[in-house]
Amino acid sequence: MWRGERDEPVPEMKMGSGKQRLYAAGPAIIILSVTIIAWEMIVRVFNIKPMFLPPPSLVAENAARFGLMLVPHISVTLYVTVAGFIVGALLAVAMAVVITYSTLLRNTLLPILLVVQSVPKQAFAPLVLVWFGYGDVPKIIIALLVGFFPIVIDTTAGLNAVEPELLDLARTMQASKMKILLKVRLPNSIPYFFNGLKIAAALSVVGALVAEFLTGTYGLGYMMLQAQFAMNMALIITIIFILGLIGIGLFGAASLAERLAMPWKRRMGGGGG
Amino acid sequence: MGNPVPRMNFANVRHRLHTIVPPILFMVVAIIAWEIVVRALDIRPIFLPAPSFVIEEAIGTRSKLLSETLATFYEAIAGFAISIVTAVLVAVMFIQSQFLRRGLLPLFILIESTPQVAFAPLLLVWFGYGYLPKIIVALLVCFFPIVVDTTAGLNAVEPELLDLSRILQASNLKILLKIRLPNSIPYFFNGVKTASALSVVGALVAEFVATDSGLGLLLLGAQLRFDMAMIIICIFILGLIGIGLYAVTSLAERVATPWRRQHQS
Repeated sequence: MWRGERDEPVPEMKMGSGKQRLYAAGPAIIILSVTIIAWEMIVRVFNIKPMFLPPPSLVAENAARFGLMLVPHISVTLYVTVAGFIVGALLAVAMAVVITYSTLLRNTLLPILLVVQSVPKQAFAPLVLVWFGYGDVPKIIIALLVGFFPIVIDTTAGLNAVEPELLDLARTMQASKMKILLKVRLPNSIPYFFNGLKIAAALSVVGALVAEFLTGTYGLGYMMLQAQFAMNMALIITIIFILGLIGIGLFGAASLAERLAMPWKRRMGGGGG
Repeated sequence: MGNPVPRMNFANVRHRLHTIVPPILFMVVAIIAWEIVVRALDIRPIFLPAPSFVIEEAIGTRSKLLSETLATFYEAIAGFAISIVTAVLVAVMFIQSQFLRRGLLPLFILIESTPQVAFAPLLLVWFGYGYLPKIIVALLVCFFPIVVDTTAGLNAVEPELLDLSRILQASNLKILLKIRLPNSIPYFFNGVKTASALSVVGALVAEFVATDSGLGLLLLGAQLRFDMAMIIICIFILGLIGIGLYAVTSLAERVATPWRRQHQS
């Protein structure tokens, strides 16, 4: 039920020399540049109204002009996203461990998790707002909720996906449940955890954004709604871009953490099943 | 995990019952406990309404509930369906053109980390209100996981198999149809299952921004009125839609790959 089921068939870019990396990134850079240039040309040639689709030059100009004003909003959104992401990750790991360790808690909590899992977590935003009011904490809770579930599910899978022979071996050596948890299950779950973490990185941004759509006081979500009402297309595009950068940045941070935690993983490069 | 299709014998049915009954029992007990706690502690409906209260309100607003639910459902399904078609086409195109694949696929993977729902205000300025912008948001959200996964599947063919087919002088088209496409089916369904959940998210968030129709509108109104019962009703309906979509895609997967039995505890 989670994307981590497969073993990374997505073709990774080879971590070779700088030259190799440039070669690998080449087509992407070319396509991006061509798109931007084409965008600029099409808008000029067809004389498209900036309110409908501003050219990249206008977007850049607009970004420079509004840039400073956006900074407090960017920091609010960033704060909510990162806080929700980190706290969500911590709680998720704790929950995963609790569910694996204690059969009693598993029988109580797992049904709740499974039921809530089918609901788009953004739907809980109004509920959180009614209960906790408008402020930073409810927004963090919403961002937390969205990122929580992929991590719990993936980490739980990892904690449980230990080969039975290994568990038998541990038991013959009379390892306590706690020792099995620490020495066998937790290390085994690390790849699964990072799989969920990367998914949660993207989702946390969505959670924070949706919370801001609904509360409308500070943050990039609020600014985007303002830009929408003012029909300021260039500002909308700028904010989309900034949000994208936040998402990619968080995903990059999670990937970096993954590479630090599992340095052996990357040597394999290439893709394919 | 290549288990043969399990037969409907007694042990089997009993096993199925053992897995389904406890959660259902748990939910029934939870709902009864919920009702008792709310009544006993006299909790205000603004904070947590009793199930009886919620059901009463649901019945009272049932026609509006139905029409808005259908609107959201339609937006999610339309976006989902279109995204499947376009994503598969793009994935196949990636096989034909190495350049496009190496150029666009990394970009798509990057875009997967961005909040695609952020495009909602932009689409609303372009297309106004109505169904189209929400369908496009749902489409955007679903498109990328399906493309990335399907492309991975189309590519993940053992090189020996490709060599064999080339020795037999198979054309590229034949390789595509006979080897790559069948190979990609499990990957495709992986992406589709992810996308099925995301489609509802896309439609819902687009409705939050548009505030003109659907369950998003109902949720927003309920939030402003502190109508907790309606919030719970909408959450419940969305959960049902989510479960329904997942069940349908799982069913489609089982039909398409009958030899494959993914067991989850």
